[in-house]
Amino acid sequence: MKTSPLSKTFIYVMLGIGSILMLLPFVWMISTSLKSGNEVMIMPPVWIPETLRFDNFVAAFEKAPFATYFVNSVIVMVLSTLGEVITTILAAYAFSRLNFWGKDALFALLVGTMMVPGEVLLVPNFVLLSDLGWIDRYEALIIPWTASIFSIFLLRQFFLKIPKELNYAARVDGCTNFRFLWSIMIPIAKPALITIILLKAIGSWNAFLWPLIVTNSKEMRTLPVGLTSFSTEAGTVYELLMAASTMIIFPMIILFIFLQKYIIKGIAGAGIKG
Amino acid sequence: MTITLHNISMKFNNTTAVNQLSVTIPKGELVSILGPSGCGKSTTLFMLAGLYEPTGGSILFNDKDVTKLTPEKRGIGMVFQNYALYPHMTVLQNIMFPLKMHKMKKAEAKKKAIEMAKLVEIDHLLDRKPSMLSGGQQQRVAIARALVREPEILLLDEPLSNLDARLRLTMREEIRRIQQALKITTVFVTHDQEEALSISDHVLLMNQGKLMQFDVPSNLYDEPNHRFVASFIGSPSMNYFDAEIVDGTLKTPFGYDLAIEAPNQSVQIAVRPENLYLSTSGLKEEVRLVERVGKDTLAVIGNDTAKKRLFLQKGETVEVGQAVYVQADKDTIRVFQKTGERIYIKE
Repeated sequence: MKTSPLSKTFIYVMLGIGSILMLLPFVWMISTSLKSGNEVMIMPPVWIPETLRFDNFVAAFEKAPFATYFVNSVIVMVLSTLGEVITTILAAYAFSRLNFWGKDALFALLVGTMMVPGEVLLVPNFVLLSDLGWIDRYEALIIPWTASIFSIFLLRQFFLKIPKELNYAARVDGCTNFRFLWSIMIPIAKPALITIILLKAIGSWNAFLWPLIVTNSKEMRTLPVGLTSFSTEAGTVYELLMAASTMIIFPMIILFIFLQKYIIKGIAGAGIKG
Repeated sequence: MTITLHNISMKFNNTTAVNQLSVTIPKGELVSILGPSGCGKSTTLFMLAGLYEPTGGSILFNDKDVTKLTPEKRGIGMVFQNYALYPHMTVLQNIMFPLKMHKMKKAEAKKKAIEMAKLVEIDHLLDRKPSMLSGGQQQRVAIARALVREPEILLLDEPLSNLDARLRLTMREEIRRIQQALKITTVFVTHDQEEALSISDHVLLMNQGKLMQFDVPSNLYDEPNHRFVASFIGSPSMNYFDAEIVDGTLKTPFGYDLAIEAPNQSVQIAVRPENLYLSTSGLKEEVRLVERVGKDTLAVIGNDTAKKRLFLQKGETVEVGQAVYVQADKDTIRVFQKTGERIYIKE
């Protein structure tokens, strides 16, 4: 199909407007992070600060133990993502390829739990973890997040699209279930797995409420929780908050740039030619 | 390797896919399993492969009972209808995969895989992914992968049904060539009788999970042992005429009687279209339709409930609506009971 120059212009203008709207908050965040305290609240707002105050970043970094927060965030993100990927692959394989009693009922039950809002579970989960003595420990930050029904569902659907004959062929070739999963299913499902990893990593990196509730000490806090140290009873120190936020989103942007190709593939649902 | 099936049955929940099948497939032959959709032919093949475990009976390779053996321990190679190539691997990796699973050294495995690729004439495509190959090429890769471990039995599940008509012809000759070159016992599932009859040493015809006839292709066509076989094989299909056996005599509709050893009953006489001919005496019928089928002319005669077809001889012409006499020689007629079993005529 050939698009006329006029409609092409229109499409690009619309896309351009869309991108600007999407970028605006980020620009505002970066701009604010470079302002002085007085400039932040000025009306009409100033987009480009008079002097670029890079020392906001230094100040923000000194205000709270961000190095500790960063290490905690990385540990939690890596371990919970790893845990989720392992449980997701195993569960999705079982639900798509193995036969066992009550398989469909169990799967329906699992999917059903997605209808329960997370907030409802906050208190019971807290009580459970508190009884286990996990409060203010890595266990509380990681273990409840090492399984995701949504990811299992997503990967199961992807696995189901892989023709059964591949399984048979692999059995004739001498694969065990585990070998088949490792050598055939996982490589084929790579786009779906990367989507799962990315959604999980972002979710874990940005998680706020749960780490706030289950941690008490500074030593256990993660970056998003650390941002609260800029909100004091006397008000919020916006320029420092924004400087810290800018630093925090940086790893996510890098991750996204490298995995972009796979995310689009995974979400669009990669076609498999049998 | 000789394959013996002994009273093999397969039940899925309440349906019986294969019912008490017993047959011996001779060593080094190409045998087709033929039958209509859902007759249990693929199920039988999957049981030979070890992918399904039969619910009854036993399978012997030579004299060894393999009924409980897993697929990789049976010494088989298998080709699937959709080829089942691993999409993320190149052609070479696909062919090497079974060797890798059996822990062969990489250099040796590569050498064998290339050897096999040469046999199936795809050695120029080794670095491609399956998605970049045509159907025929994918098929060849699948055959190479099935043969690379030098199995003693090759199993093919409708290997030609995803190919276009011309390619199908080439590939079936290819399969025959490779089978002959390796002298490997081959079992081939198909629903296409032409395919089965053209390349097989023996054909195993199944219907509703049961063995109907296991025979050489010419016998299946000329000497069907059941009305189902007679109807299933051949195109255009068999003509049927009602007849009676009275006191040891078969009264044919063509004006002659035959001595037959069977109790009094109504029977059906079957005659192939090429064995039915126009004559001055015999059965009188009206011509309904005349059509050209390639080099031959086919005349459809009879009434709506019992149409018959015959090929006209060179130079013969008939008009639609014309009354003609048709005749069939006694050595070309086959007699079936109402239940379908064949009644043999004494010579």
